This record gives sequence, structure tokens and C-alpha cells, in this order.
Amino acid sequence: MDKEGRAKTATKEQTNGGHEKGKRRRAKVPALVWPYVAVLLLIGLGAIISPGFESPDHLLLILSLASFLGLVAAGQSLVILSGGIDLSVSSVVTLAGVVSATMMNGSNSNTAVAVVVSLAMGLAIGIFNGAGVAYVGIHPLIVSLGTYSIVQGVALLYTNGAPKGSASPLLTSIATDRLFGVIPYVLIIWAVVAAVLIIFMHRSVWGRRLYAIGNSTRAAAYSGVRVRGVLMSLYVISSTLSALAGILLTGYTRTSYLTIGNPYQLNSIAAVVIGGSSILGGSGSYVGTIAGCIIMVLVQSLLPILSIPEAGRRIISGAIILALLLLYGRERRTR
Amino acid sequence: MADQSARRNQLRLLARVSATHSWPTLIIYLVLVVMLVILALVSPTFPSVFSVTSLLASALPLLFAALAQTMVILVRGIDLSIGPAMSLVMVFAASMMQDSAGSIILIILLCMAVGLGIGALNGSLVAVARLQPIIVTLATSSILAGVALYIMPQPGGHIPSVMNSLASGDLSFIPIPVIILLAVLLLVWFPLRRSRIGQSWYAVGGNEAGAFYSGINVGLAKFSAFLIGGFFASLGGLFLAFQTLTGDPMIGNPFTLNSIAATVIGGTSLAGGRGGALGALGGVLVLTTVVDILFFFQVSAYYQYVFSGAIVIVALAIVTLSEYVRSHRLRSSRAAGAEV
Repeated sequence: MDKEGRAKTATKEQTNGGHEKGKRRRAKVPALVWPYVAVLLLIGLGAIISPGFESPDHLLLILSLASFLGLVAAGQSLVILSGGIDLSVSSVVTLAGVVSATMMNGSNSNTAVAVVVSLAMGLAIGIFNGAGVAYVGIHPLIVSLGTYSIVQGVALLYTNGAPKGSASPLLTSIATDRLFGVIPYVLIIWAVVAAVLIIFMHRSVWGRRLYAIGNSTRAAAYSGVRVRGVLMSLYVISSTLSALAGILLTGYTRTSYLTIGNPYQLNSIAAVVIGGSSILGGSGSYVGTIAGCIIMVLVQSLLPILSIPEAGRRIISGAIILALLLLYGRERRTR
Repeated sequence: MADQSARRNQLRLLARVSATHSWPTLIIYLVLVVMLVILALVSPTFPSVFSVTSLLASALPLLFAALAQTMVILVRGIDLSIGPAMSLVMVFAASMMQDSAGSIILIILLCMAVGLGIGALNGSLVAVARLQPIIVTLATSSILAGVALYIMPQPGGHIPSVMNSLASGDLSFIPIPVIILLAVLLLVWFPLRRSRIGQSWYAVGGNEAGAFYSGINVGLAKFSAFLIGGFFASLGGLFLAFQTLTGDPMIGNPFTLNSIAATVIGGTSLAGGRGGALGALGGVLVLTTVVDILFFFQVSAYYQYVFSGAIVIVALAIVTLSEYVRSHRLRSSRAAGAEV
């Protein structure tokens, strides 16, 4: 049995109730090991090419850069686990970014309102996506493609093509400063979100239902899972976390622009998949996605060191995704 | 009683019609008619040979992209690399093409070869290496965008201006875009759909395991869909180059998602096995007409994002709900038949 198959069995046991906990955990490990091996290899490669790449300080910088992707990929991970996909994350990041920058306009006193409004917009977009997928029954790819376009248009109309405003000093310090000068605050935010998510995914009824839906929506529905409610929650989480990432990114760059979210659409999907999740849903974990996010950021920070131009970077990052997929993302043969 | 049996017959007919012609495709053409009426009302020039020609000419690149997407979606795949593939072909043509007829023909043929090569790469990764299409094409889109940027880091290059008039002019009084359109549908799509290969796409998309057990080469079906899709993507890139007479390594990007939008609002199902080129044509024309109408209303150009997004969602909501209602009715009428 190949890795994909083993991962499937692992989740199947999990949804069956997982009587033998130890066995389940042992069966689950192999699928999650590869992404972390790749992380270590990339760090090793970086250390060889550029001494100091492996220094704790630099690795913390990498991790704080990965935090933004990690927040977006968290929601994407849940949505993909259920068998869906969310293409709207990038425009949500952009909208939250430009709205929060405009509303804050560099003033600390406006920060709370701007953050709340931006998060509420993310929440509303999530409800819209969730309603389209869960209650109307439209394919997730289509719903999120439509909202991607609509939200992009709203961001353009809101800014009239020229974003104004800037992040408040408070937001900038949250996004760039470090606790005790060591641990970046964004990393702490990511760690908290990740911990809550992983606990809920693997230790709650909601998490079991999520895997059940991903394996077979129909079987889950017949076993009494309220599929619609669970699906709705996933899309709401995805959009809200994307909005949070957009706000933090605005703090990080101190200003906002209309293409700020663009890379996150494909990078979040890539991070989830090279983190070992099946794009078809039902198998995988956010634990793997975390490694996927770190891989994406490591690759993108390694290539400039090699002074490879933009064109080469794109080619190599595409090739690395393909290589990792060939390593552990293959499907079983039709038989 | 008579009324009921008449209704049952009607439903049976409905089921038969919808098995061969998909409802959503009919719906999109109704929407198109409404759109064209609106356009005729707001535009002082619309119902004229010139305006129809320019509408079709501006729709051609998206039409080829949507045809490429349709074939891939028919086999239950999806191609996220169409946009970058078009950019790549475009910058390749713009950086190589000279003014001589020989060079033009040679470069066009080379561009088609590039498209086939891209299709073969995607197709073999999906069919032979058994990777998921969405991820494969995500990765290749990054690679193709990189190659396009490598060939031409900044927009530029040169396409002989004769190509523009060839691609969007008219032959005595028949507009060339209309000829191209008819040629693609009558000489390429319909023969293809009836061929062994075309039939295998529908079979594999409809039920992969079933197709496999009835002796269809599933891998070949998927590979050929991506291969011919790559060919159509290269035509899209070429017409994009003919339109703008220059090369731009980023201009193709929006075509990826727009091609998916046009394909699905035309009634091609993402679940595979249903739909076709006529739906894609309807979808492309609707999306193109919307942009024209918005232009005449003199609203901000940014509204086109909002409108095309809303059209995609509303169109698919109608399709999904009508299918739900129909299957519900068929089931209840069958149940009623059993009781009688």
C-alpha cells in the first residue's frame, strides 16, 4: 500500500471511532514525516549555500514570514480536508488589507475599529461562501471563484484603484516586533491559532465530522452529521483567518496595496498539498500544512540568496512542488 | 388521470432532452439573448457588422481558453495553467516573429508545438504520474509563468500588424472572427466530439471506473484532453498577441479563472462528462457582452469584477437548484407511477 492509501486508512479508523488509539497514531506518522524531512533538507541546503541561514534568528524570521501564509492556509487546510477549495482567500486578504489601512490611517485610536470591521467583512464573505456551498449546493470552486472576483471588485471600487492610508504604529509593532526581542508576535498568533485548530481537528466531535465529510459527504450525512453546519463553519473560519492575515500583512508592510493578497491564493493551496493533505479531502492534517507553509517560505527565501531572477524563482518553486508531489502525492492506479 | 400521465410523459421527455442537451447550455443562450438586447438598447452602434465583428474578435482569446478548459473539465480535470500558457505563447511569438510571411507561418506553427508540449507535460503528469490535475497545473502554471518572464521580463516585442487585420477584419463582408468561430466548431469540435477520443472524454468524465472496465484507455483519454487543451491554449495566446500586436508575460493570468467561469456557466459540469464547446461559446459571449454593456453605462470599470463574479454564482445557483428540483420531481413522479 502506498502512502496515500495508508493515510486514507488512518483517517478511516479515526472516523470509525478509533478504538485503538496507539495504532491509529502509528499509522498516521508516515504521511506527515515527508514534509518535515523536506523542511530539514531545505534548511540544510540553505546552510550550505549561505552560512548563517540556519541561525536561530534567521529561522525565526522565516517562521514569522510563514505565519501570514500559515493563517491563510489554516482555513484552506480545513476547506480542502472537507473536499472543497477556497479560491477567494487572496482577495479577502487584499480587501482586509486595504480596508484596515484606509480606516486606520496611521492612527492608534482607529486600530480597534479597523480590525473589527475588517474581520467582520471576512466573516461575512465566509458566510456567503458557506451558504453557497452548504445550502445552495454549488461546487466550492465556483462559489469561491465568484466571490474572489466580487471581493476583488469591491476592493478596487473601495480604493478607486489607488489605496490610501497606512498601518497604525500599534499594528506595525504587533506585526514586526518580537516578545522579549526574541519571539515575533505574529509567530505567537500563528502558534495559538495552530494549536487551537489542531486540538479541535483531532480531539473534538467537530473534527471527526470534518474528516467524515471529507471521506464521504453522503455517508457522513446518513450517519447523522449535520453536513451543512460543519461546511459553513469551515468557510467562515477560512475567510476570517484570511482577513486576519490581511490585517497583519498591512501592519508588516506598513501600507497596503491591491495585489497584496495575490500570492496567497495558489500558495495556500500548494502549502496544504505539499503538507501531505489529499486535494480530494478526507486525509491530511494541519500539522502537515504547517510544514508545507515553511517549505514554501524557505524556497522563496533560498532562491534570492542564489541571486536567481524572478523568472528562475517561479520555475524552481513550481518544479519543487512537482517533485514533492511525485514523492508523496500520487494516487492509486485505477483497478 | 390523463393529465397525470401527460405530465409523466412530459417529464420523461424532459429527462431525455436533458440527457443529450444540457439545460444550463440552453439557459446561457437565453441570458445571452437578453444581454444582446440590452446592449442593442444602450449602444448606438451595436447591431452592425462592425460591432459584432469587434465583439467576436475581442472574445476569441477567451473562447480558445474556454475550449481548452472545457476539454480538461470534461475528463474531470481542471487546468490552472491556461493563463500562463497563453502568456508564454504570446511572448514567444512577439519575440520571434518577423514581418515576412515565411516567418509568420513558421512561428505560428512553433507556437502550436509549444502549446502541444505544455499539454503533453500536464497530461503525462496527470495520466502517467497520477497526480491530481488541480495541483499539477498549479505547479506548471508557476513554471510556465517563469519561462514567460525569462523570455520577456518586460512587456514588448513585435507582431506584424497585418496579423491584427487578418484576425479581426473581414473577408469581403463575412467577418473573419465568424469564419474562425465556425471553423473551430464545425471542423474541429464536432468531428472531435464524435471521434473515439472525444467519446472517451465523456465516458471517463462520466464514470471513470465504468469507462475503465468497458475497455477505454482512461490514461489516454485524460492525456489527449490535456494535449488538445494545450493546443487550444496556444491558439488563445496567438490571438491575444494578434489583438495587442505585442507581448506581455503577465497578460494571460486572468484567463485561467475566466476560462473556468465561462466554461461552467455554459453548463459544463465540474463533475465531468457533461457539457461541451457550445456551452463554452455561450459563456464566453455572455462574459464579453457584460463588459461591453458596463462600458456603455459609463460606470467604473471595476464593476466588471463584481458583475462577472455575481453572474458565475447566480448561474450556477440556478443550475444547481433546477437540477435539485428536477431530480426531486422525477423521483416523486416515479414513486407515484409505482403506486398506480
